[in-house]
Amino acid sequence: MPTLERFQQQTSDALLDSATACPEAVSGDKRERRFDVYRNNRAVSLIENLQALYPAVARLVGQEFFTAAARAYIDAHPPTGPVMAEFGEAFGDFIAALSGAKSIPYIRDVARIEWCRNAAYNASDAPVLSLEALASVPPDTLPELRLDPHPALHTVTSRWPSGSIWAATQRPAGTDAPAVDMRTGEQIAITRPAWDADVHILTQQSAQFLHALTQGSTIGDAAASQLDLDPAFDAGPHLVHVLSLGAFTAIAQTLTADPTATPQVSP
Amino acid sequence: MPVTTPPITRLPQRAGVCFKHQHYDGIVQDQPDVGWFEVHAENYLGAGGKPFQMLSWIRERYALSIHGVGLSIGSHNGLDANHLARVAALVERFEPHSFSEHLAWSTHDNRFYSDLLPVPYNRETEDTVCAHINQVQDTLKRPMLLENPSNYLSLNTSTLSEAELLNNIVRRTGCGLLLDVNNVYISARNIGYSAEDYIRSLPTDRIGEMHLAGHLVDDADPADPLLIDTHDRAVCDDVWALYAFALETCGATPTLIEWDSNLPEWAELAADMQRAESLLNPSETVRCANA
Repeated sequence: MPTLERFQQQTSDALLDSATACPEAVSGDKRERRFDVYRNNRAVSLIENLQALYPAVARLVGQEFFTAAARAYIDAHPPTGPVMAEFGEAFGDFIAALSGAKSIPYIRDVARIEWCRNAAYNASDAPVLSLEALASVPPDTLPELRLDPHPALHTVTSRWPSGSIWAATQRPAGTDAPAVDMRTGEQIAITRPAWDADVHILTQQSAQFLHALTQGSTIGDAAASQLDLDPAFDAGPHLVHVLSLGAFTAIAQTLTADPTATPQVSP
Repeated sequence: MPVTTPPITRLPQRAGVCFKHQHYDGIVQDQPDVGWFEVHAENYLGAGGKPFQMLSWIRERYALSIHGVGLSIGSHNGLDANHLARVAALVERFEPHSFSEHLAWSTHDNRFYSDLLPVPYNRETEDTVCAHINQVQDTLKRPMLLENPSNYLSLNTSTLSEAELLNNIVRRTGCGLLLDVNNVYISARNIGYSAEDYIRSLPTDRIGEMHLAGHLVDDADPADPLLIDTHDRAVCDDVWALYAFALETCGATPTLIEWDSNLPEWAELAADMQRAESLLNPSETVRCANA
């Protein structure tokens, strides 16, 4: 094996497993201490990235536990490329599976909110579909319209009040946490109408209506699905609400309804 | 037929600073006199959003250097073509005044190690690095600058000195060098050689940029103190002195203050930048300190 390949393989092995000796080509009598600089640089750099990505998780689990979890994560799920905005998506699942996190079952969904904020922050630029633009179409054609989701739109469905818990982590240190009813689940939408990602807690009906629209249902079909569940459902205010969040970018170009498409409503 | 060599850098002969998002609002408000800004390519490879909006604002008003930290030029198994294509698209979009990367590797078998890892200094590395630099320069359609690493160890598979290797690479590829003065200081102390001799043995007419940064002295083992390239504090006096020597040896060169972690207020960063500017362009700076 050529020297460069052998050295890079041995370096990789020694970086991912601290029990593996440093590469045989390293000279000197303090070779492990010298090589430790690279082990440490790698860990510090990747843990700092996770810390910047998941500040709410860090606040909820405490710094010591967070750092230990991050240190384990970077060995179990090392990054596959050099773009740090794309590293760490599985951290929520990873930390939620640790025995030390069993008492905070909502941690996975709070992490999901933080990952979606990161994804929304870096999503492609697109205009936000305004209520005015929708109001300018003839009212009788409105039920036939489909809407294109904004590229920054993400949704999280949680059995826990994860949106409220995330919001509570945003308060200044030293202030009291607001009361949160831990028995209620929440539907969360993340949007980026301008440059910064916003987190919104939706009602169940708004979330289901939004979900149907993002799956390609016409406005009429999305409303009909909700009417089946609640005869008093009025689509107007829900449509105004999700548009005001910046959930959509445009009216879909194809106005012809697809007869094979069925509205998909989350349970 | 004479061959026109493209200039290795279009950066102004001034001091610049790394652009950090924490400083953006203040920069927009005050529009400070800064020679140029440098950013890491890998922080601007998303699909869109605020990072591009901020970088566009900077690029419209200041000269810009894009500094890659993830191309892994020293990888034995080739460059990641997808990553190179993304960097090329960024370079095409922002048309920076300089593009630079490192004599190092960071990726192996689809694992990114988030550090600038060492290469042995020998013919095999020279051939590998030259092929990769040619590929980068062909893809970006411009010459690049190659940065000297900070060294913490020596490899017994090295048969050349670092300066010999850099001379050979510059001659074979036409690339320029990014002389990181802090890295020279760190390497010279950690490995045990003369920083001044090292600088003197480089192709000094091919240095297109210099870097200055702060480092940590790790004396956990008093018998073997190690200097660590942390970029988390002000430039130390010894590195300022070596910078003055480098300017004397290589001539005036665009110079960056790097500060990547434990970020200071803008004023502290600007103070280091102004100190570099006063050494780089002494005749244009009020020399009250020496009066």
